[in-house]
Amino acid sequence: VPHVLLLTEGTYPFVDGGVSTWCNQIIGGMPDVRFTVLAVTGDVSARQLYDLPPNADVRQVPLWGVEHPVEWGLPVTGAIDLAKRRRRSRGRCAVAFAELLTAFLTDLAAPEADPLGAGRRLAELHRFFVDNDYVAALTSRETWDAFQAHARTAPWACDARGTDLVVCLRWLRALLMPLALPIPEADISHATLAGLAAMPGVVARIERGTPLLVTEHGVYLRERYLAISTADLPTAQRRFLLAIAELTAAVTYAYADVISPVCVWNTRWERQLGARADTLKPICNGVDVEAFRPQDKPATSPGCWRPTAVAAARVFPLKDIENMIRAAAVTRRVIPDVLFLLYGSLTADPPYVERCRALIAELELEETFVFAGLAPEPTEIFNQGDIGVLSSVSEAFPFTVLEALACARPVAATDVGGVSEILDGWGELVPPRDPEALGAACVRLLADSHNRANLGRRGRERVLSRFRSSFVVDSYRDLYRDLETCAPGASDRPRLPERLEAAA
Amino acid sequence: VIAVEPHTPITDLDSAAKRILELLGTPLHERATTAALESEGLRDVDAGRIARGCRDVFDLGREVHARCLTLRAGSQPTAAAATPKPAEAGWKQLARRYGRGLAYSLPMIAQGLALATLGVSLWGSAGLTADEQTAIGLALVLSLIAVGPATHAMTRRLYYYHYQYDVRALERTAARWIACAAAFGIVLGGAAALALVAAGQWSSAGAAFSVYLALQPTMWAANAGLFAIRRSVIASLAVLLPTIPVWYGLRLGVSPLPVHAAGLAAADVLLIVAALVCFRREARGGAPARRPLPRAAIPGAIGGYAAWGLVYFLLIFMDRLVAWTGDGRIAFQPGYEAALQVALVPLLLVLPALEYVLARFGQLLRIATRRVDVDAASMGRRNAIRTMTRLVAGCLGAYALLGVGVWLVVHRLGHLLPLHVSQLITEPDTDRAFVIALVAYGAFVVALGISSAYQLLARPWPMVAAGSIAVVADAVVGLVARAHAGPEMASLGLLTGGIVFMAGMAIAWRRHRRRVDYLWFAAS
Repeated sequence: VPHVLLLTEGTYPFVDGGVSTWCNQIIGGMPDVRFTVLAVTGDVSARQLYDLPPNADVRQVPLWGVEHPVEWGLPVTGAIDLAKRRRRSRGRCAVAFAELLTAFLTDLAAPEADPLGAGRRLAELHRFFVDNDYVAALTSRETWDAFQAHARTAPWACDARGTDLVVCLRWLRALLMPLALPIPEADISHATLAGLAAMPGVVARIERGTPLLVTEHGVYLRERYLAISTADLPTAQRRFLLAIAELTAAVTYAYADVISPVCVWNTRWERQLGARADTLKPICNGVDVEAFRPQDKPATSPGCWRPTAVAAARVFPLKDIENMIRAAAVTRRVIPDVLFLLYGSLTADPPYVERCRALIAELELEETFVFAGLAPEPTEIFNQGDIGVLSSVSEAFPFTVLEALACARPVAATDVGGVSEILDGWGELVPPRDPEALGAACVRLLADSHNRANLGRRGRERVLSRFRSSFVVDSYRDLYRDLETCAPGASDRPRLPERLEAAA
Repeated sequence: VIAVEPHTPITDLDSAAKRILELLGTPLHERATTAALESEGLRDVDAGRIARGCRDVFDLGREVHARCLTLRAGSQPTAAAATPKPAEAGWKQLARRYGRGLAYSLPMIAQGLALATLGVSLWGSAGLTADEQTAIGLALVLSLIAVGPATHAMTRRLYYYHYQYDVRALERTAARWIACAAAFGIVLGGAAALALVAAGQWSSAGAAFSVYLALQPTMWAANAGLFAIRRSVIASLAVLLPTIPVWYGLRLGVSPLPVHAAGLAAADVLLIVAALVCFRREARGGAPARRPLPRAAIPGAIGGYAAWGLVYFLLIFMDRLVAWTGDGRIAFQPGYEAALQVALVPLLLVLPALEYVLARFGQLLRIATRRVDVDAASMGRRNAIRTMTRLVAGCLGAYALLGVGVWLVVHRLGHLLPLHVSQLITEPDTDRAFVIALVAYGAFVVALGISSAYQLLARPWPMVAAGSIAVVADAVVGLVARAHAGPEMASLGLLTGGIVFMAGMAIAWRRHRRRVDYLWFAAS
């Protein structure tokens, strides 16, 4: 039975969304494969949203609110052992760590210069943390001095203030947590992104030769560029965060045996970011066509007697819900009784939710646009409406579009990421951040019932032929089998499995 | 109204650069520019239309990024000057911080006021015999020393969870520590009673000692817990309310010791209920608590604070324990006890001002850390240290004034003090001890003033080290003095301890103040 170390960050099994849906499909679809989910979460209070099947277990690695890695699985025999580690981490050991840290910071200053070397240095950091005291090492005077010395010449810190250095080193203490804990033994590491959470996979690749598979949904670094660039932080802090994202992405791509993005569109970015073309093997997302079936609108549905557009999205800026709200106003000009139902968590970015509510009030859309919260039964939400809507500025291969199509509901969506790979010719594609265009697309679909039914039927057929979840599970099963045959070796050079090499 | 905020339409390189500047400010990377252009709806097919020669959005991103930097350099943007928050007036901040510091002692102050007005407090009244009275004093001191480590450690954990917004862990921690303190007190009191019976020394003073030893720890722990979540007024009410039935019971002629014990038990119950209710309200709607800290990590997390809790109370009370030794009774020397309690009053009134010293020092360090220029930052840190020194000197001056005031009250207006305190203190030996204690506590003000920097920088061990040496010096000198003179000469130990503590803190600070930048980082 192969054993897969599934590496997630801010998603499965603690947060819902596309990546979690995908993880659930993969784990549930392969009961004969053992999964250990190493889940990096924002803080310690994350609540598990998914019940794991018997073939999976989860180890949480919170980044924030951790006082010591011993809380989250670092094995120590007791307080004396911990005190010994702390004592050991002072003096010469602290100097040695400062040198390691300086090397890491040098990599950070030029993330793409030597990703293989950077990976080795990350592995050294991991070894240091497991043998010594993580907290003592990262808060020692030597570490602070090394960090300050590096900041004097580092490009990211050219206009940094003392506060920025304090904040950045403090961040480092949180962000290196995935390296502070022992990495579970497994036959294959499967990372769901090329970021921090993939670092244990990189270390396992270097130290044990465990093959590393990376499945990116949204391209992690691209999304970090968008999020960090607009974050309300001082420039030096944003540059530092960006450097970390760039380094982790570069190292992951360098050590990945196979990169299987969920859409072809992602591969453009991944190649730009240093992924080798021969490692790229897209496997598109799929949907459970038995669970998502076309049905009539239930009589209890809020939009039973009204033309209804349904969306499923967490409310946060990348989903550009404001665009959808404005599009609802555009649609209402033509179809006064239209209803927009938005299902999804409201907790991801509370200030953004408030902004959206204010916009709804400003446009007097209280009767038109409804936040319906988390869906009790996700398989039924698109059957509550007539069409599906997607307003994101960044997507990969969104499940919501597939689910709407599987329910024979045509979709009006922004042309971002791999959306066109699903919808080109099978739905309405509009430019992002253009509410007039999105509203007009909704009107076209809602006003013409014949066209809507036709598109819906064709959409369902397309999903049945191309995007079934069973296809996805089978593809990954094959990939796991291929990777398992890859002889483990601790060489630095990533090696493709022979079959894939031949195919390449 | 429906349209998005007006923005530059992207038709050529300049308009693309302007739009990126609108979206991102100065873009940090050409790929960030590319991602932002894509989020504006641009695809590979648009790239060539916007900038000649661009094959895809990545080429376009590079071109636009370079144009952004040129535009930004040309326009010389003025740094967005953040509107500084209007600074709180110094005296207002002082008053607020003083009030916050005073809150910890509020229940004790309420008891002092009750004693001054009604002649009764939970800890004493004229109805108790001198032995019972001082046995209670001994029990109070021992209970403070016994649970001092726990209350300090608990307060630290509560602050930590408060800072982490983990209200359920806050509730869980408070409930556990208070329950442990209550159980510990009962065990301690029971053990004391058994030991006294076994030694054949059981008396009303022994009973008072055992009962107070059993019941006081709950009060200290619950008070500290309520203080940590800023509910000291509730704590002081919970302590004050039972004083009224005690006063009434004494007026009715009920036996004093049972009445006091019942009052103390009632105060404990009220405090526990208040703590349960307040922490439950605090935790309402909170996320599930994080898992408790593993045992292996507990010493590292709270060991320093627990040690400081022990050393702190030993520093203050060691001389009284020295004065008490060798007497064979479960009771303090009444005159010495009265003198030292009164001498503590100026210290208790000045200590809250150190809360302001801590806050102001932190404020100035924060300002210094915000500077880009290394020299300016260093000068800012030196300024913070100088200001702290001046403030500690100010506290010492205020203490001196209060000390003289208290001395004058004892000697000139002694008739205003309850329980014949003035008569007890103005005995020649006791009066000398009183003056020595006033001077010794002055040294404490300086030492604790310096230690406020360590409190801010979350470094308890230098305080523990200096304090431990001072405790040993206090005990040794006190014992020698007591052996060669009366018990009142134990105050010489207090004076020695105070001076050693002050010198120890000064030496430690002299070394550490050079690395305040690092200590500030490590504390964060």
